[in-house]
Amino acid sequence: MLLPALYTSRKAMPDNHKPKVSSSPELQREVAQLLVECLNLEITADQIPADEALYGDGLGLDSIDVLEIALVVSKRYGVQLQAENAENQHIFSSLRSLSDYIATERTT
Amino acid sequence: MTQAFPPAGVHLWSAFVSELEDPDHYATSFALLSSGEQAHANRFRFDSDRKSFVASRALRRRALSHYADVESQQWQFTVNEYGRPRILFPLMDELLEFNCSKSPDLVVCAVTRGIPVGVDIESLDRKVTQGFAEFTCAPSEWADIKSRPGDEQGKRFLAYWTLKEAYLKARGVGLSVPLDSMDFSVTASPRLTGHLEFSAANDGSEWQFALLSPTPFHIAAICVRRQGNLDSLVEMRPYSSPSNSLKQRTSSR
Repeated sequence: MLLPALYTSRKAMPDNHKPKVSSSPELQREVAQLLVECLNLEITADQIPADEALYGDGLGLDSIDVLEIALVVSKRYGVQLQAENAENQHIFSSLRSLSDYIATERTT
Repeated sequence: MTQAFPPAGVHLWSAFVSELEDPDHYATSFALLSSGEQAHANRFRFDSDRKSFVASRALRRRALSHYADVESQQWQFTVNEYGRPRILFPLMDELLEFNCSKSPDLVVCAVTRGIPVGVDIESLDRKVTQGFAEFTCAPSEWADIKSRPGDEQGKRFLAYWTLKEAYLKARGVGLSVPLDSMDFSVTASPRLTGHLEFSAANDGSEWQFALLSPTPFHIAAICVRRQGNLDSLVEMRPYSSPSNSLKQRTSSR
């Protein structure tokens, strides 16, 4: 399987590396709500455990889903999508890791 | 029994996920999978995703067994550093290349005799946001989509999207090619087909593309490495479990 989170665009912006921040339960819940709304999931936000996988298995997001989420996250939190971030696979591996990434990189 | 196919040919196998709603068919397909694949299947949250995964992995095994004297359960697979699957066991004189794609209700597996191949399938009712389409399309592609009548824009976008996915999957290196640096042109006559324009990142002449409708409700793109001046022929191979009638359904997550 291709790693959807690795998809890049020339419209993507460069990124600065920052010290890692752990996400709060509130932010994880907010991101879970974003997933439910963006993907029309038939579950509620609190039914997504922090360690639930987002793609590959778990919630079973496909490449379009992952990129749609990345675009919403980038707009809402001012997080830039990046081309050559080797951590991209890890970032989208679970709700927790995506939330941690947002907590670390957010500008809004 | 092994099957011959043209040296430059592509066989596109397809199977309906709805076949697995029958518990017996699900069990038969599930039993073909390795223990690792079975564990993977059981980690899906939604039944629909699990069935689509099992259908895809079972089709891959059944399809490959048509070209080699290997039982469907015996195939072993591995992935390259970018996650692209290939055959690990058994070693064969003639390398079989394959690539699979799944949608909620139809799964496909493209097989060639040693020619790098990529395939992507989407349901025609798959919706994306305008922001998504603009982000992934080159300017000329986006202009073409906007020039279509409203009810054709979604299908035209999916043509570009599946072409890009098929190309990335055939190359097996998703990372190095920005989505909007791939500049495709799609022509609808005499049949729907795609062509990759040459650019610094992409040599369109090396690859050949086809756009297909495995059913009236799906679009699939295939990308194969060009063999000289020879156009690869794509042949459809619908797979149906014995004694099972095809029941087409549109399912959603």
